[in-house]
Amino acid sequence: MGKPAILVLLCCTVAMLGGILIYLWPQMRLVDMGYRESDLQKQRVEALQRQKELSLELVSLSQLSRIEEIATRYLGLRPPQSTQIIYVRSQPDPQTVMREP
Amino acid sequence: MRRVRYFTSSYSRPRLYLVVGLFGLSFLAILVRLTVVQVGQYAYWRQSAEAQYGRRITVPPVRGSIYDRRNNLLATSIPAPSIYATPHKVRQPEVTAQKVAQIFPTLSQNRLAQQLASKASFVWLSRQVSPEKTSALAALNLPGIHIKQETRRIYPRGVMAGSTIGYAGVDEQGLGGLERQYENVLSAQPRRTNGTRDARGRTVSINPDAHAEPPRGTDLHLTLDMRLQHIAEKELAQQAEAIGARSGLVVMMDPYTGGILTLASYPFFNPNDYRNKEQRPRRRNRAITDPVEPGSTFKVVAAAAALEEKTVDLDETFFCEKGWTMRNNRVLRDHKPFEFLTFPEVLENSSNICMAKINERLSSEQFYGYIRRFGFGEKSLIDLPGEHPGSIRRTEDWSALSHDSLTIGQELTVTPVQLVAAFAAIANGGWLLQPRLVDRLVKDDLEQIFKPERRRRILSQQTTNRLTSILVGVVERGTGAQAALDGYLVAGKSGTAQKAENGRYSRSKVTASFIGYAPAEAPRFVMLVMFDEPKKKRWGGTAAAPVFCRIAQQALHYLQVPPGRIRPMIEDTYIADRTEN
Repeated sequence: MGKPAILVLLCCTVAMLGGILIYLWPQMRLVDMGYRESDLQKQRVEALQRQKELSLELVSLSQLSRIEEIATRYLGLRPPQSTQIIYVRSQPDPQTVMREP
Repeated sequence: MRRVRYFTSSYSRPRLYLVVGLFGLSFLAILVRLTVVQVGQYAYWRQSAEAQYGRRITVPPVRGSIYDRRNNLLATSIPAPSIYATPHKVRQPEVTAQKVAQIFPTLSQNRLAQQLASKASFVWLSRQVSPEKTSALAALNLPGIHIKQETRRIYPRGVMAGSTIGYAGVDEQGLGGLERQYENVLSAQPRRTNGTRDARGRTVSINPDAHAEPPRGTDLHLTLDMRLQHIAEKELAQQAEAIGARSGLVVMMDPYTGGILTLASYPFFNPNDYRNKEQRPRRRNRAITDPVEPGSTFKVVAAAAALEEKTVDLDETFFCEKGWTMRNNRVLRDHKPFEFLTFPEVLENSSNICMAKINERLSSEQFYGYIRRFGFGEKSLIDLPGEHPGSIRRTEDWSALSHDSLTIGQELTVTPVQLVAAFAAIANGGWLLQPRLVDRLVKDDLEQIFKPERRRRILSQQTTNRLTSILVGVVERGTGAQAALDGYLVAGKSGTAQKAENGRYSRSKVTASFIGYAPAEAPRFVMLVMFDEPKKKRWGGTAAAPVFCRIAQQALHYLQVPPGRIRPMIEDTYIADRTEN
C-alpha cells in the first residue's frame, strides 16, 4: 500500500469522524439548550408565582376594613356627613344608570 | 537529513491488508447494522427510546377567578405543589425520610419512614406546600419522591361574602356557594403533552405548547359590590354584637336587574379556613337555606292584594278594637291599643287586627294566589346551591285561623331572598325578577353577559305606586321611623316574628327585620336587614331599621345618588285612578 492509500484511509477516517461530530454537535447543542430552556421555564414559573403572591398581598393590604381602621385610628379621619358631600355631575356610570326591568 | 520510510518492508504488507480489511469489515458491519437499526427496526427502536427518555407532562389547569362587579378580586388560585412518594422506588426509606423531614419540619420523620417503607404504590407526603420548599426538595433528587404541580384556592378578602362565594376543597373542586354552583364553569381540563428526560430524570426539553399558559377556567364577575358588601358587613356585625343576636343578615338587590349587590350573613364564614370545625355551621348561606316566618313584613303582600283587587279604599277607616279582639276563637292583639285607622295608617302602625279585617275581604283562594304570585313557596332560582323554596300550605289544608295568620306573616316560611325579590317587584313597578349573583362570565376575549330575567308581572304600576306611598308613610310616621334617611325618601316595613318553639310561639325568641328601598321614588336598591333572636331591642323597628338607615345612607353616597325628596302623593294617584274609572 502506497502513501496515497494511507492518505485516502486517513481522509476517510477524518471524514467519518467529522461527519459523526457534525451529526452529534447539534444534538449536543439541542440537549444543552433543552436544559437551559427547562431552567428558564422554572425561573419563569417562579417569577409568575412571585408576581401572583405580590398581587395577592396587595389585595390583602388594600382590604377596606384595614384601610378604614388605619384612617380612623391612626389618621383621625371620619366618614363625611351628608352635608359635607357635594355631588358633581359627570359622565353617567353604566353600572348606576337607571334601568327598566 | 534522515528520511523515514513507512510500510516499505515486504513482510508488513499482508498485515496491513489484514488490518485495513478488518477495519473495512468493521465499518461495513456497522453500516449494515445501522441500516438495519435505522431503517428495518426503526419503529421498534423509536418506541423503545421514547419509552426510556420520553415523559408525559401534565400541565395542571388554573381555576377561574371570581371578581365583584367592579373587577375587585374575591377568589383566585395560586400554584401550590404537592409532594408524593412511590415507596417501591425509594432506596433508603430512613435516610430519605430524614432528608424530607429536614425540609418539612412539620412532618414527622418516623411517620415519613413508615410511609416510605410501606407497600403502597402511591403515598401523599404533603399537599400544597410552598414552591421554595419544593425547589429544595427537587434539588436533592431523591429516588421515589415526586412533585405534583397543583394550585390552591385563595380568598384574599377573608370573610367578605364568604358564605356566598363558598369554598373549594384541596383538589380545587367547588364544595359550597358559587364555587360549587359554577364548578363546571370555573374548572378546566388539564393539558397533556410529551417531553424528554435524561438519564438522571431531569427534563431536557418539552414541546412548545407546554410553555403556553396553562388551561384556565372561566372567570366569574359577580353582581356583588365589594364596597357595599363591606358597609353591610361592618354595620351588621356591629349591631348583632350590640343587641346580642344569634345571627343576622343583610340582602341588598338591584330592583331593576335582580342583581344581588350585597349578601352578608353574620357570623361570617372564612373560606380560607373552611376545614375549621367552628366555621362549619357558618358555611351555609342563611339567606337562601333558612326559611323564616316573615311576620309583619308580610302584611305588605296582603295590602298589595287588597289594592290590586280594589277591595279597599285608601281613605277607608277601620276600627282596631283597642288592641285586642277574638277572631275565630283566637285572641288577636296589636302592639298598641289602636282605635280608628285609615288603610295607610294600618300599615304604618302595623295593626294585626285591622290588617286581618282588611284581608278577610279576599277569599282564601285569592289570597293564596297572590302569595304564590309573589314567588313564595317556590325557589327564587337564584344561582346558589341549596335554596329552600319556603313553605305555604294549600288552601285545602288551611285551618279557620290560617287566613288571619297568613295575613300577619305566620303559618308560612319564606327565605330572605324571596322576601327581597317580592319587595323588588313593588319597587320596580310590578315585575318579579329572578335574583342572580353572576353578572358575566369571562374567558380570554369572550364574555357572556347575563341579562335580567323577568319571571312575571305580579302587580300593576298603579298598585305599586300606592304601596310605595304607604310604605314611605311607614318610615316617616310609623314603625320604621328609625330607617328614615337625611335627604332621601325611604319606603319600607318592619317585622317582628315570634319563633315557633315546641309547637308554640316563643315569647322570648323573635326574628326582627326591616325591609325597604331607597330612594323611594327611583329605587337604587331593595334591602332586608334581619336579626335572629336579639336579646336587646327585640322589635324590627328598633333592631333592624337603624342598621338599614346606616347602610342605606352610606350606600347612596357611594352610589352617588344626590339627595332630593320627591314625595309620591297617595291622593294624586288615588284621584287619578278614580278619574280613570
